[in-house]
Amino acid sequence: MDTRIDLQPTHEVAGRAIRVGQALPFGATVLPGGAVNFSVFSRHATACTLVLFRRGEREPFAEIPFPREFRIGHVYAMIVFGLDREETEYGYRMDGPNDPVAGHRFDRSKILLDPYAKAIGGRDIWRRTPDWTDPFQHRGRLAFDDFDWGDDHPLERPLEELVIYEMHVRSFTAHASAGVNAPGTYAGLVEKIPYLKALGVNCVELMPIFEFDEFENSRVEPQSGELLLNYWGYSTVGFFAPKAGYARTGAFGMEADEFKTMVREFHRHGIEVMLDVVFNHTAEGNERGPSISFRGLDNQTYYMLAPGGYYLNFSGCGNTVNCNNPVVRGLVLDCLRYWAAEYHIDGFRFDLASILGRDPWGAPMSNPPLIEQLAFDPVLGRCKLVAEAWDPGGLYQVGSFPAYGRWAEWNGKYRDAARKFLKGEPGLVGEMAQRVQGSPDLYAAAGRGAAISVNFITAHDGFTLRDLYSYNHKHNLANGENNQDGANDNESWNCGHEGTTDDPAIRALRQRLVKNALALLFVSRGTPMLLMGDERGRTQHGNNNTYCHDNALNWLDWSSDAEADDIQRFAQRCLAFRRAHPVLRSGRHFRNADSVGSGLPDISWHGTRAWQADWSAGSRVLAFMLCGRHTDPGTPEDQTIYVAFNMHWQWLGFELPSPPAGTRWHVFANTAAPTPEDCWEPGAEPPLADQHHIGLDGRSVLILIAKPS
Amino acid sequence: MKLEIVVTHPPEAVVATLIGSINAANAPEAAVTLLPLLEAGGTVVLDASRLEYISSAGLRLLLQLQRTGAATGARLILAGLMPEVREVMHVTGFLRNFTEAGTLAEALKI
Repeated sequence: MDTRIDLQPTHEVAGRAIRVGQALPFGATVLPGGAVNFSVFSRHATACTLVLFRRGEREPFAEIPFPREFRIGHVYAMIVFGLDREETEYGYRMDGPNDPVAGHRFDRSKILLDPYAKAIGGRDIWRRTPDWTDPFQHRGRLAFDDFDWGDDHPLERPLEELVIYEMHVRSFTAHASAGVNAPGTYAGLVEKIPYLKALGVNCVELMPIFEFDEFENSRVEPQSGELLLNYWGYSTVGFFAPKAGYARTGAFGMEADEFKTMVREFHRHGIEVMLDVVFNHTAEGNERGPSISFRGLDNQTYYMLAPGGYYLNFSGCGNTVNCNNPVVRGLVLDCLRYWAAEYHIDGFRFDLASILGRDPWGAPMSNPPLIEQLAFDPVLGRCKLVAEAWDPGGLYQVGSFPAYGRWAEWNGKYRDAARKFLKGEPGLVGEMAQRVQGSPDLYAAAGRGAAISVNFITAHDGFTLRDLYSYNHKHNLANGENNQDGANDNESWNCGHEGTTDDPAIRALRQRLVKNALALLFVSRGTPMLLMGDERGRTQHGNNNTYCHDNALNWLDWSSDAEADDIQRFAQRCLAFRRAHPVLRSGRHFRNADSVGSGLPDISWHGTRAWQADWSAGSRVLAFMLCGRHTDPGTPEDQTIYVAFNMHWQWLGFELPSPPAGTRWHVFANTAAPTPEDCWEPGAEPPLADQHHIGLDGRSVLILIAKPS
Repeated sequence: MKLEIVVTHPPEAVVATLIGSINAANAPEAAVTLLPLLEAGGTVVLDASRLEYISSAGLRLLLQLQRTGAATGARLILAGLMPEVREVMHVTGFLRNFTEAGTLAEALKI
């Protein structure tokens, strides 16, 4: 029997046995013995009421005002006895000023979701039409957060070892062709782990899995009759709850267990899990948006407000989270620590991260406390922190994001330069030489390594890799916004025909350009990121902003297809090649010098002539050679590798530099060669007949490896 | 959601037949009946062929039974799991802790 004197009820209110609670932790915590501690913050509320429901019922079964003695500072805390852990839902009513100009939007008629809710009901089953007459749509639940992890732990693989696969949970297995038992779910992802292992990725970056409302802004597109949804989920409802509708067992409230089992299974197979997290705005929109949580709990604390009380909109989504307010900073920290510690998450990618560096009035800070705190946090100390280092408000911080020696970033300049270079624009050779080295021009002077450059050519925003070479223009009419949405500066090329074609020459060219892009991405120093499905030539039919489509436009099609299988094979081999060669994966910057006495610099530059790169404004040729003896200290020596890009449309003859003494050049890949000679199994690369000269077809990539003669 | 537990003692093992659903409301009472069977040692078969649903609390009760058995040297076998229940246990990571049998008859032969 517990001898503590502070775990017995002291009051009975609204028929419930209660007592004063513990101010921390925030949220709903089940105590030993089964009583539940509820704690919620509000600086400007004048009173708070806990509202309790039986699961799914419209009317609460109890409303318990917090007595005065249950408040410490701005924190209301109550312990309630005798609640059914599975059948209880809860929320808060807040009393306070309704004075929008001063920033206060308290409304006692609304029941509000606990920002720290670890489980959220109301969207338990994906796309099941909600009861729109229910005033309390997103309801806190009492999660079972205990879990048997066994000996699982975050994998803590060095950043330079990662190959990141950006994916959407539902899109990966929703299509019938996926053939999984649990399509579109966390459990479905587990069923496809063998595929991911065979492909060679070792980190999955999951697009938002914090609870969101797929029905937010839902509308019927008039032309197609299709119901458009908030499909991607970049609009958070609850920061501590995994989306129930993505779980096979979401209907039973078991999404936390299912998600953790998924993480454990990924880890068991050597795959890290990174979460795409959205702290820059919430699902509440501006003053016309729904009151779900923050607005009614303490609007002035949680949101950046203009004089006059309007919502500042640096996110482009109606509101901006006041990230550098110390209380909000605490919420962000608590959230990430929770996912790192309780869900064993390996890393986080921060959507529109530049917003996290703005002060409460929106001004960019040179020393933003939140970003600094995340960099130094003890619990997050070995997590990857990746910033999407820009925002729609005009901040662009690629290369200048305040990194505190920790943060990595999405290298938007890699994407832009690579796209232009790959489609044959002249004058990119100088910049590409920086990008393939991990962008020392952006990062070396600040003392940041090469691996913090997350290199990518495609991501969820924009064209897929196949569509990058099938369309000159975006085709987003299906989004119902008159093709006004989505980026216009795609740096894409349709190879002579806009969209699908039967022309075999165009199809073959598109196939080759996709392979060129994959080859470039996987030989570049830095951390490569691949978009789900690009390894199978996934198309979105020219739609470069598919945020609202719950259909085959987004769903990965697993059907066997010669072209898709061909690209997959090429991608797999490139990833195997990268894995086999540490010289491609170092986190250090190149010195462009010989520091080991091998006779070759760590990296050297060439063109159609060996040892003579063409840096001129009209050049479309870049070649480089990596000396295999220049691997990181403690890493075994590697083989010397030569890579040549002929991005001109014409065949060009290349003079090859001599490989190291005692070795001969072998071909790993030549994207101009027809399958199966476009690439070889690493280790089985055939020798070149002519060791001094080779012709490269226009728009092709050559990768050679020096092996002992 | 109700739960009925029928305990029988054939020569091979103690059999507890679970009928209905296990959830947070009835799991504590179920523990009172079931835990002593594991504490006694020997082989215990949970006949789940009429167990239609198991909640988060129920999953944790089963794990608690399995751990009690591991401590006392008792053997716990889950028999006749309904496909939906089995899938829920698999997807939430609980199934791997248990020895299973397709039917009660098979369980009694183990």
